[in-house]
Amino acid sequence: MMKRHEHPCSIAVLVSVMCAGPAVAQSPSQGLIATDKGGASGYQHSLDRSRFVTGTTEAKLLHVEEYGFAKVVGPDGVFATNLRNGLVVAVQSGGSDKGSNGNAADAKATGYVRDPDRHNQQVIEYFLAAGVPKDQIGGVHATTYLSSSGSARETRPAPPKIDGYASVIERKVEKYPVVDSVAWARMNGQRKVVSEWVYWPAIPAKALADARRLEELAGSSGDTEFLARLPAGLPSGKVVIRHSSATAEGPFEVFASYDVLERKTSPATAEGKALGRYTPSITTVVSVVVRHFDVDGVERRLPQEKRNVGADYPPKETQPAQPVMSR
Amino acid sequence: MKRYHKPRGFVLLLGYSIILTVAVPASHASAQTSADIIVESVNDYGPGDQLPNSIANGDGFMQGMVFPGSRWRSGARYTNTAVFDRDFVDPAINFLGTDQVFFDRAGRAVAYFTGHGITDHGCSTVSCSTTAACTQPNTATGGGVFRLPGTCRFSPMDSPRCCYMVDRQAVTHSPGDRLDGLVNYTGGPIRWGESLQSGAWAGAGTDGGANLVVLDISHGILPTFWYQTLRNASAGVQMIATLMTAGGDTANVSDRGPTFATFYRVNENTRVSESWVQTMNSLPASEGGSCPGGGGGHGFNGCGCNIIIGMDNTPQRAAGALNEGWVNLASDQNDGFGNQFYAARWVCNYPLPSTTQSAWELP
Repeated sequence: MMKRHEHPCSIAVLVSVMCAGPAVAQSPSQGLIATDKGGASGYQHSLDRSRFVTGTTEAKLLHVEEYGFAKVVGPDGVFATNLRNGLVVAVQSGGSDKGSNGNAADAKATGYVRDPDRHNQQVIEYFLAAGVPKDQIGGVHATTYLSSSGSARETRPAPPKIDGYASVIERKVEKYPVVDSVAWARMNGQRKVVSEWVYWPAIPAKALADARRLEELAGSSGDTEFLARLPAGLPSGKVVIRHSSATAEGPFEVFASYDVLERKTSPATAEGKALGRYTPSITTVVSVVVRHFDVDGVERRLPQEKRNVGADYPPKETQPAQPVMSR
Repeated sequence: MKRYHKPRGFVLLLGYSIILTVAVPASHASAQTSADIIVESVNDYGPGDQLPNSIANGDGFMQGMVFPGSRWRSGARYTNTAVFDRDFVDPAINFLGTDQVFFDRAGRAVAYFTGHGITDHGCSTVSCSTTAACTQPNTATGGGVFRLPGTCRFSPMDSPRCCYMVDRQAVTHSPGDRLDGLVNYTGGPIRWGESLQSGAWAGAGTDGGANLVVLDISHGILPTFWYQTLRNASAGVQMIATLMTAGGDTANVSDRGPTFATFYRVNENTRVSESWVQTMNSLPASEGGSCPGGGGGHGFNGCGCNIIIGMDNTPQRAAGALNEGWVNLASDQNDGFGNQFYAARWVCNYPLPSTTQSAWELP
């Protein structure tokens, strides 16, 4: 439901908005996003379906287009819809300089749901009521907000304070996780949304068909022709659907993937690498990377994983190798 | 839906500009601002040691922050062997350092590193029921130099055992390295953010400038040493954002940086600290291993947290750092005047009951 407010927006918010120049904000159509036959609908979030709080009273909201988003700007927060891919992000305002006193966001955060399971349930109910297809909710889990403060005088840190929860909806289509679809919300004690992020694009039939096929190919025995084509030494993986992330530029890509989580440990330094073996006291690094293999067994990179703007800048003097100095 | 036409918007903008010009005190009018962004990203750590998503991650952050109409400018971008360990080192502490030219150059609003951290954990195999019992650093195993304080640390992935303070480090891999490719930001020659506005209280001059440092690395902080880990490096920097693992690993993902930047694009008056911690929520939940008891993923393999810390010379200013919006981040008047006090905020990828007295150590 759209809120109206008595108080005018702050000058900072207005200037920020006006700096964007002309504003012609047209968000994508809300609700279900159509797909092809055999595919899975997406969901387009909107302010009408949201419980996000842009302000406390009846004040005028600004509708502007800025930085690729259609924004509804209230005195206390911004509800923004990405005009290219439909991502919705809603966050509070309330930033301030160090010297200033107080802020609205803190006051609203007081009174949070104290039970993460209850918060999970409320967020599921919220997204279902908004229109997220029930059969696409594969699970939910809470993340925990914490804070701490102290000084050099203390020998031990003060126990952290729990400041509330967000609940994250996990998406599945049939039994396949749709990894890059993300919907989460953080609610206060009045079941109002303090912040949220929703990106739930439609999944075409081909991706689903490939997922079913991939599952057959990968089998359950761990000894199939498909698995034999993958690089040696990989742990077992799982069949999922991957797509362009909410921040990826370029055309939308979606494919069924056999995702493998690879974890490798290496010595941290050239000196350690030169040893060619591990010793108990050596400093090491670990790399944890998810690799994607399509229905043909070809390794794929998601659009967001292929970003590379090219040359470094400004030019930097590269120096020849010299003996490493001791630390 | 309202429409704002350009001439009207221009007139309004002019009007507000006049109001602001009249309203802002003279001291503010001459305030220094920082707008440059530097991103240093390392994919290639030599044969068999690749982090394939670091450059995509760093470039995505830069692209997300710098665009027509943005208040930020692209200051520098270095990748792989163009990233030197001494880029991060303060020359006042170690003469090999060049951070005044690179990572911590005056005018930097954000300095972002994405690459390896180290796995040194400082933990022993000695089980414990209270932190008071953890007084023997020589029992710790693994890499690093262990020292007090100790902690009876536990996590959803570990039962309580004595762990000890050990320096945290970022890792580079270049022929230009002079410090073995290790950037020790706990006990090493790292001082970030010392500026004309912060003053030279950290003993590193005033030739720095980074207002926000992001260490997008494995094990940036281990609990409960969030203050000890970053105190020396805090020489005027307004905030340091990094990743804290609680039994898991950091996953090398391509979207942490651009997701963080998305919050700026959405609302430049939202808090930087909230933007960083909520970046974790916004990364895929099922990419990365699970955390026992629920959760996991979101850029971690197992259990972990996005954490951000501000330090200053009073509790109010330390807490104030975490209230800064993106707009406020540019102002060097928010630089730290000391590091005697800290405030930290974080979000973990698993549920902790609100009745929990300590989530990571036994008292």
